[in-house]
Amino acid sequence: MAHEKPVGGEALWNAIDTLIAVKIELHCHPDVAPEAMILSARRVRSACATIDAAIALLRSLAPPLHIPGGDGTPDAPQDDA
Amino acid sequence: MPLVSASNAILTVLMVEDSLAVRQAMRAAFEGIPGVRVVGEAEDARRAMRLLRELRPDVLTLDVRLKESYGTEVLRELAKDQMPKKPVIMILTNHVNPYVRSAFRDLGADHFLDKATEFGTACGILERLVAERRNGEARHGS
Repeated sequence: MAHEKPVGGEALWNAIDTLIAVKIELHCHPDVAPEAMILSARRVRSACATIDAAIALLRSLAPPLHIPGGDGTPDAPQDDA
Repeated sequence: MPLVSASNAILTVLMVEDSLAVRQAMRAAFEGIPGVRVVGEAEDARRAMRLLRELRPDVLTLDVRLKESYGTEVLRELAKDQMPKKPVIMILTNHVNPYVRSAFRDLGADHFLDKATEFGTACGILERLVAERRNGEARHGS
């Protein structure tokens, strides 16, 4: 099934929704004691996957990096040795 | 979008939300509340109305922005419907400005919550509805 890439404001709302999903996944009932361990490995992995999706969405919205005075590619790191 | 049997559930919930990630997270959180069962999910207004008529949930959670549609369309259709018992309508959205809030209140929304900051309130409302249902059943049963 073909998916059209969301643009502009719609993509930004999608990124916000993805971050909200992470927050809901990490939601903790107020009655749980502060020292209690509550997250299963499955929920942590799911939250990480959702954060990855949010990062990818936000990167697609961010302007490309231009290096001043360069050709657009970063300089190679200097070798101190 | 899985549908599950409502048997043994005290409170059945239909979630209408365009974001798959949010639906998955909400389902896990809601089904962690004893007595709550998510019986269906929809990402657009048309499917939402079909599932509302088919499943007759106790609670409808509804986003403002849906896939190729808006939550207002669901509430307008619901107002026309001859359902014997309307669900409790809980709006969970990013779009919390007064204009949108007022429009949804006018269309019959019972609760209007910011899904980023008031999700705990949404869970609290479901817990309260389960408790009220249990108390009602206990009174009728005794």
